[in-house]
Amino acid sequence: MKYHQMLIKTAALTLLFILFITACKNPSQTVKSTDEPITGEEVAVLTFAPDVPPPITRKHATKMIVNLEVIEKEMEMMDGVKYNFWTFGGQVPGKFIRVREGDLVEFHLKNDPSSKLPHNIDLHAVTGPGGGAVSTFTAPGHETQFSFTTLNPGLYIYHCATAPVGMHIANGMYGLILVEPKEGLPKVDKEFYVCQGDFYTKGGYGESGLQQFDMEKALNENPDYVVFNGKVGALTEENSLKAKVGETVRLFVGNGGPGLVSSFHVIGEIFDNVYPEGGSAINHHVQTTLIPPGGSAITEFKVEVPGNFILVDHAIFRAFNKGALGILKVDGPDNKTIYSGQQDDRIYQPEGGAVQTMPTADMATAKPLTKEEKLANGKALYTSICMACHQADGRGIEKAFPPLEKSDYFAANPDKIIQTITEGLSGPVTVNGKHFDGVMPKQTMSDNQIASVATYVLNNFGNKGGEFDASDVARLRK
Amino acid sequence: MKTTILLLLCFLMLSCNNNQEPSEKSCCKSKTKEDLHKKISGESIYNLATIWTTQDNDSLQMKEFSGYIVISAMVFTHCESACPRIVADMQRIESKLTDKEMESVKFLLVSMDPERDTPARLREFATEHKLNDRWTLICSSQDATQEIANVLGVRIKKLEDGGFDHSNIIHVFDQGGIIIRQQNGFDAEQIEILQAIKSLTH
Amino acid sequence: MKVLLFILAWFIGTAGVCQNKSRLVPMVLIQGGIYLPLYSKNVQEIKVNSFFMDVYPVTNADYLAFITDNPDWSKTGVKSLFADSNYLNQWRSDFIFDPETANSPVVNISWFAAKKFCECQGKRLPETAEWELAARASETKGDAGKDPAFNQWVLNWVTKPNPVTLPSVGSTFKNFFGVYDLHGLVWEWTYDFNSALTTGESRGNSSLDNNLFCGGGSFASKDITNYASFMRYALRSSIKAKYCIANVGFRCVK
Repeated sequence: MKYHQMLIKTAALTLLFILFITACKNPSQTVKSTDEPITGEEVAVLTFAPDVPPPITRKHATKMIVNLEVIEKEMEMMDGVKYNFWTFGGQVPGKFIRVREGDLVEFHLKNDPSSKLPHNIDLHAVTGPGGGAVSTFTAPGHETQFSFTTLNPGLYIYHCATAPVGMHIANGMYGLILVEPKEGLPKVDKEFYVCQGDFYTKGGYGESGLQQFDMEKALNENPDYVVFNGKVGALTEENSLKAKVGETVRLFVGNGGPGLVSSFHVIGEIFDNVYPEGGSAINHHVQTTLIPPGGSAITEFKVEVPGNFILVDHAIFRAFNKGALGILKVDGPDNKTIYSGQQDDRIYQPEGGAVQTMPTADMATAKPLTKEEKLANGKALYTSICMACHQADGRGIEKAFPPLEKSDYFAANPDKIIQTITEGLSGPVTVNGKHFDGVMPKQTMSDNQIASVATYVLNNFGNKGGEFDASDVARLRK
Repeated sequence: MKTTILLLLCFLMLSCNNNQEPSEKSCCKSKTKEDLHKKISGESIYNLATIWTTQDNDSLQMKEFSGYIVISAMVFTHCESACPRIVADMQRIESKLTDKEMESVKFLLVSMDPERDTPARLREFATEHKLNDRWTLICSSQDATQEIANVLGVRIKKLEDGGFDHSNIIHVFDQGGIIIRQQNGFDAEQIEILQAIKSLTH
Repeated sequence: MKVLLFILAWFIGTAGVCQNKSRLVPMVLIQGGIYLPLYSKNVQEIKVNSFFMDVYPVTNADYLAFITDNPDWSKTGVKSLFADSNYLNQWRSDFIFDPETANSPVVNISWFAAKKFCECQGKRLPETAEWELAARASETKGDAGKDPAFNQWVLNWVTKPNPVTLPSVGSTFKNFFGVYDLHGLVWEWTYDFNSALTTGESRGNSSLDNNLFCGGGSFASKDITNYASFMRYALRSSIKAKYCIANVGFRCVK
């Protein structure tokens, strides 16, 4: 390179650098300090999900003593499905740790004498080799100790890193540690702890009994369960997160993995603030935030209207078929301006009429179909419309969508099928002894279509048979 | 049968597997009789009954270090990387001791290679590394070596080429044979070990 | 003459005195073979000679017999250099344990204690390679290392928490060589357990730096899907010789 070219380049680079420096006046950026004096000593309060320890209000750094115990134990993955979990503290995810930037953390890892295996901990909040893993390699019935200073504020995953590390994580060995910035996080009304994880079992989703870890599925990153807080239903029904209209909510969300990236979304909410990847930057007005395994995000939002807001991994089969589903139940008065609810439902006639051809032939003539035709049409309709919720095998989804299989709900009165399809259904129902409290929207199908799909359902999924005609549907419509 | 015994005896003479009674002219005899008679703590390394051979072909038991602060490490003389570094670290510690401290400190290198480290080889190693008479180099049988490695928490994995993968630890024993400090890995300054020595000598 | 030689050999091996009213524990021959360690450089095959192995792990009753003869190794007699405070934790006192557990494997035993016990039987602790060679046998095969069903069975035991009371020895399967309980009951001490060099930081083991270990080099694992084997290796790496752990027992070989 010629000399003058080099000179120009150097000058340009210098200029850029100066611009960069002046642009970065934000003082909070990447400032780390260890010179804050340590005053006093505290034993950290740890909490199980979905609870979070209280915010830190002190204005100085302190010595924080953290005691975390490793416990291996059999617990439920979903009702009727058991699994041998390895845990930090006795549940999945592990206990939430909350410290302040600049704190000196004295960490004690205790491996229960009943443990079969040695374990350790890698805290992503640690600056140092292995995140503490080497210093905390702990045999059963032993306790190890190490100390670290929290240099960087943020929300961090911790996990076990003992070989085979994937299996230790796949069995539930992860949790969150929050390093609050010196100035603290803005005050909110509710804080919750949510952590996603994927599990690999010998039996498929829902297969009851004690399930063993399936190494092959794990290697293929093809889990049977993707859940929030360690269990299908950990955040639904009576376990739902609860808030009141007008409150601000902060979710500390982690992803233990080990395999899947989470597309974290709350149905019907927009995150006012997201701290992507658990760092200090703040993004606004976010629908879905990406959380990698071994990563986190903080989301904040004000709940403006009442209702059930559903937490999902928006890779949506995981939500409805593998368990990644939770509920934030918001109580309080409606705000029709923000959300009105359905205001009208009328016939839609596109302008110019003939541009699109609706399947009006069917509707208008209502030509009677044979049972075989109904079963064939019904199967196609079921697959395209009903299956997403009621499942290919008609078993529905525990706690969300009632089963059609051997359903006692319409066994006595098959007309109920037609009514449910034409009118929809909301509020509590009991099907085959299980309670459901969801919403099924009414379906806009022709009489022949409804007759077909109802006939299909009656003659499948172990139901006792029967047949509907379009005229039956017409009679039952109000 | 006789041949076997003969072979066995030859083995005893030549190898490091020394089984003689501890001799009086041992290099590291304790300073006073009282020290020897003091009750040995259950944690003390003096509880090891194994018998070792020094670079001067003397036999030795651990309890003969009674009354001294001992700075120790496990090494093998054919080691090309880590062990010379450990020895250098120990020499640096030595260089930082005051004359008074020096009087109560001994340096001990324990061989992890009973097959190749003979007393003669240890002597050679001591000369090469200019180790003075405060240094004792010892070897013994496979069993004794394994036992002391486990007492010290040293991990040793034998390799195909006759060498070893091993942990690099410098141990500090107090005057009663109890480990009071273990330095894992290398550290040019050795401040913590020096502090430990000072706390024992003052 | 043989006895004399034996005593001589025995004195060389152990400086301490050792009383033994020998008890007959059945042993079987394990055919020698090649063992490939889990973590090894290049192709570091280990040739294992044929040896005899105890059919069962050592039981509480066996161990009581040993302690009766060698009270130095009782709960209160043992030196803290050789066993931590959990030593024989499941026993009520020096010579008393719950009679129902007489036939259960003795646990909360240090390596030093296990080694001493075997020496007093005229035996020794198995090398890791020997133990692994014997333990890769399923009920029907001498080497079931590649049998997914066998590996899964072993893994399933590993993932289960410890039972409150340990079952009796012989309660698992009899393997190809005629040995019981190598899997499914307790972990077992090996003579050279301390040759497992992982630091607990499993992710770094593929490139151990020279700062920690003399040889350094590649510790790439031979069989990354043998999870149960990884866990035995991790356990051996996590313990020290004086540790007494509730699920670690032992057996002897010669």
